[in-house]
Amino acid sequence: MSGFLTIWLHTLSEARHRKLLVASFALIGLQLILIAALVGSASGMITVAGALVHGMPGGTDALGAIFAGLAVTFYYPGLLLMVWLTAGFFPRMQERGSIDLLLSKPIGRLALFAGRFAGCATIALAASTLYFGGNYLVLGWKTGIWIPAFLLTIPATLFAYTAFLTMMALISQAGRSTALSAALVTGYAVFIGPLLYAAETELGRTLMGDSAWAGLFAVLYNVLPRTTETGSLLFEAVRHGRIGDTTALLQVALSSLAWFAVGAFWFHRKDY
Amino acid sequence: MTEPSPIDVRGLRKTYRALRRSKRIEALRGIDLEVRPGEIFGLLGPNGAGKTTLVKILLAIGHATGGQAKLLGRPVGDPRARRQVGYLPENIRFPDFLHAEDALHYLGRLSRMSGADRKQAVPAALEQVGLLERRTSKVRTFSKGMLQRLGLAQALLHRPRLVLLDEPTDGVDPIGRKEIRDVLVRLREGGATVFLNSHMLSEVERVCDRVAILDQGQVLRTGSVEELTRHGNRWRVAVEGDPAAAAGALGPSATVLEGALEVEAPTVAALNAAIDRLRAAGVLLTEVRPASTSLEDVFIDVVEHGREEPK
Repeated sequence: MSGFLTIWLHTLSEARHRKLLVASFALIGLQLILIAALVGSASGMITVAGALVHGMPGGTDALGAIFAGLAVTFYYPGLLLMVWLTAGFFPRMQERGSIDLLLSKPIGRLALFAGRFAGCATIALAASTLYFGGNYLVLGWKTGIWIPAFLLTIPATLFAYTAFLTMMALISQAGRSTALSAALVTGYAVFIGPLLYAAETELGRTLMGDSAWAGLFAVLYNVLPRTTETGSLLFEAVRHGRIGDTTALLQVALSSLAWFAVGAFWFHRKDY
Repeated sequence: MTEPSPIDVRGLRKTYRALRRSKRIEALRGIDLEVRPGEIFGLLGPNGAGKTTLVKILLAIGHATGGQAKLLGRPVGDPRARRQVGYLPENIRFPDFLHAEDALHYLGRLSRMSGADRKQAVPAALEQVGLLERRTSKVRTFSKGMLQRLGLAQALLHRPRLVLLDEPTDGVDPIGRKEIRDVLVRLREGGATVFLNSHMLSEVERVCDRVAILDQGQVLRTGSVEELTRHGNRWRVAVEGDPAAAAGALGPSATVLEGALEVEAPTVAALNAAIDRLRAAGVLLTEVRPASTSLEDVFIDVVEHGREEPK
């Protein structure tokens, strides 16, 4: 069995033994029960809340818009859940006594790094499928309306999560701390990312003018993955079944690749 | 074809960089070292001497700044060399959620062992270190000594040709230490080479064929334990009765030291002549052996002198 496969399987085994998936599934289950109850009694409240966040469009396709709003409403908690679930995997692998043992085995560092990465992504895929699949089933069961485009939340969340995972893998090279990885990525997801996105809007540009901050924000906006925009694209995809402008997706993919490459190179060269 | 040296190090240097040049640390300053096949080699040195840095470079856990290092004839960093190497790191940490045998299966897979090989080797390795009865216990329930034993088991699991052990008896009780020493001797008898990094000088003295003393990133002395501890051409002769009276029979070539005679004899013939003179004087001998100092005394002496000499 190759080193990559062994590390990938071990990461899944670690998640199972640490009861991470059980805990997350329990949380997701509770949330699904809550959603089922709310949809049964006051589905409009959630729908309006979700839709308002990303702008309720006018027009006739209200159902598509409602489900798109719900998709985005569930998107961020799902994403953060995956980040918190897997934030400890890279720091734990690099603890003293543990990393020495792994590196002394006849396995390349890149295989080790990639195996761990793939393991985390698989855990996220499992959690994401359960979370969004569960929400889809509950919504369909309670409302009798089935909009398969809602399931685009699964690949969309996994896509954004992969960008965050590259950041966590890189941060762990410097800090080896679960709390630091989780805090920085959460901070980016809920504060820095939206801030950079806002700064790039027409209003943001007007407000910032020619200040030095404007230049810095522009650089960061282009270097860091634009995960905030994937939420808006998700809304569009669920509502219309297609995406107009794929620039943000391409930027997230390239940025994630670059971050992965930097993380892998750092891991490859680092002295433990 | 001759067997390559298990460890061959030439002019190895390691500098830990820092932003300020003055803060840079030269952990290894161009060391040369060769470990021969089938021997137990001990690396001694005070804290911060560079011992662990050397071991980490050999296993590609760290990277050298300069020089060359080969493991079983291959450059360090080549994963193929590590297939035949077992390593017990200092402060080993296992995945604590696994059972002992599962941990060994996992690490055996990383060592490229087949399922069939592991099925045989895992119980055997656990038995070898006295943990067979705890095979289904979670690693998190193990004491420090038991973790060390499990660490030794994983290092030996794939029958490596070279075993590197970093403080293997740390936290192990005296009986466990004896058992670990026995394992090391059995490894040597089986043809494996053992590289031992330890502070426990008495243990190194007991099991090692050769040792190197490292301090401040330099090898100060290398040799067999006997070569390092041998006290010139002197012999220790224990006698019944007053050693001072017996010394009179030998004249200035004998002195009294710690309740016995210490006799200067450059050859075996000269030693036998001295013994004949003692016997002729009616002295009863109880022991004759080469005079030596302990490895600890040698170690302290070498390190202190090494620090006094200008670099």
